[in-house]
Amino acid sequence: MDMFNAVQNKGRVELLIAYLMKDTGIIEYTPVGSIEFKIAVQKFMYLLQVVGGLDLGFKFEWLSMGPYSKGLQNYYQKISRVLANNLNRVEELDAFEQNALEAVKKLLFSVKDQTAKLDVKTLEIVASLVMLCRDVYPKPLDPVEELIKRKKLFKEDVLRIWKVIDKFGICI
Amino acid sequence: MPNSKEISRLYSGVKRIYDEVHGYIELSEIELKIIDSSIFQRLRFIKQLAAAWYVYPGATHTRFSHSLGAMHIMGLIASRLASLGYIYSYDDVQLLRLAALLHDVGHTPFSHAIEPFYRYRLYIGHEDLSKIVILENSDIKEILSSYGYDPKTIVAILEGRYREPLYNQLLSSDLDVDRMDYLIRDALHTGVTYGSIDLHRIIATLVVDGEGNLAILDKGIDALENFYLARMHMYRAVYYHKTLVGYEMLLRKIYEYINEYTEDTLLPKSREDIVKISRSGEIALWHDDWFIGMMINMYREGKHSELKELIEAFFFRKGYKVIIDRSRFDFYPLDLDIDKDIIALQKIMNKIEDKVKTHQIALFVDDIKILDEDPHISPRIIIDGKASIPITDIENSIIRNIPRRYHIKRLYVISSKWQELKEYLMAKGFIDA
Repeated sequence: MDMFNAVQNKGRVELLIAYLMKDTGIIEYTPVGSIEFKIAVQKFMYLLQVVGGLDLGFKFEWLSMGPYSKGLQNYYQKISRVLANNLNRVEELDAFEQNALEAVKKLLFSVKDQTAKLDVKTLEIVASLVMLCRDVYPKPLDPVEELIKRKKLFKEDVLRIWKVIDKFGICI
Repeated sequence: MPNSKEISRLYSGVKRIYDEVHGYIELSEIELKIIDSSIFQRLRFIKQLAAAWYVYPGATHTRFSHSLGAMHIMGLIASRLASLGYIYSYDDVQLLRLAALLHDVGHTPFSHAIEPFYRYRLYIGHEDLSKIVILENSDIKEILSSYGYDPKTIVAILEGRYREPLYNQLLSSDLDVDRMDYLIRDALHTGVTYGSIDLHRIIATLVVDGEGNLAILDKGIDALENFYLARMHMYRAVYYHKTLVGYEMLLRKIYEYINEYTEDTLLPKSREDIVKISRSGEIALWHDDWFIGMMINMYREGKHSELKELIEAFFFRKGYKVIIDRSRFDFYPLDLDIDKDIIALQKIMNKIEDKVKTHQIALFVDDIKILDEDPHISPRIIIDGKASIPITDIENSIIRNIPRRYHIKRLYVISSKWQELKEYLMAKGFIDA
């Protein structure tokens, strides 16, 4: 059977993202399928790969809204479907996946402790700062300055998030 | 902000090449040096549309002319954005032109026909191949470096990781210079006139919104809508034409067999092999004509019957022919696991496995994106010089109503078996009489 051009089967993606959506509480105020939902999917996947160390082969570009992978376009609907059903986490995730989720959640909850909120905008800032300090070329001297130069954000807010990222030793 | 005098200085190039789409294209010194390198000359021997000339006799244009065209369009757009103050330095216009010029430098022989072989075996696509060539081939590296351009910067733009998101968008977005050139060029060479676009209207209305996204002024909305409609037509009439796809699959299968039976440095089997031929420069011969020669040799040797049958089918135009086609436009992504058509086609394949050999049959499934309602990439329209709105959110836009996806689900069989199988499937009630 020649399935060369078929959509790649990255079977765990929808499950992992659905867990993050639920566990971080983002899903509670992000309507499934909305613009915010798609932004959250992109940023969660980026963080899963980079912070969680779970390489699912998605290549991320640096766009005005931060990290973005074309490959995820096929998953928005699948993730919505998984979210509509109940998740049975204990049986479905292996240890490696659990660890990846925990690493991302630990970072995001630390950010939440500092900023008192964890919404899609915060998620976008976290993922953007991580991408700026790791994957963008040439690497900016100061990721915070680089981000606020491009976005209408309060420097204090971005700095608070940056301090958490810096403490986690994510940047290389 | 560079003024128009400075910009025109860039294009008072050292040479002009006449292009059938854009007319005269001016080349700067560094561009000419790259074009004259053996690595770039290779693109003269890679057809833009693989074996599309089996369906559209005029489709013999190459990656070479497309690369020049993409560079030219990039020059037009970057100059406009520079004159509007969105691109700050004049060197960046040249940088972007170089990135566009080199964006396809790593394409495999027969372009997208062979590329999936590497994409699914080594997880390497033509973008990765271009990256390897730019970073590993000493000619390209030296030319870029001698003019002060960092090869890693070019690669970062091609990969969409460059620090300026706008530059990434120009080369990799729904409305990028690659697509703008190939739509016009492919429409011209195939004769599929409804695939053409109003390039100059798009460029003349292109701006950058407050968030740094590429956007079109509202007066350019018709040109943008036409761009999407043209793309949709081209997908069906050209890029995924049933016969054309059949010949692409045939070439890929032949390539697989030849890879299995032959050892040759130009049949790279790993990333390291690709790096080696890029470094040695041997990659300059890795093109359509080399592969045609390889096929002729293998055919004349006649050692492997399946391979000989497939090569014969290719050269004498008796390749794979569609026997069942369930393709259709849709609004949602294709779900391979639950799609009824795909399940049915797989069942049919199982039923006929004793009637045809594996190499004589092929299932083709793909999910083509026509338009995505994604906030990261949806082109934006500037309404009344103020609000920037994704085109998919504009109520009276035609784009709201066009399908988002083209699902292709086809079963192919080699021509020599087609009639027999057709009769069998009809007798069994799998297809209508």
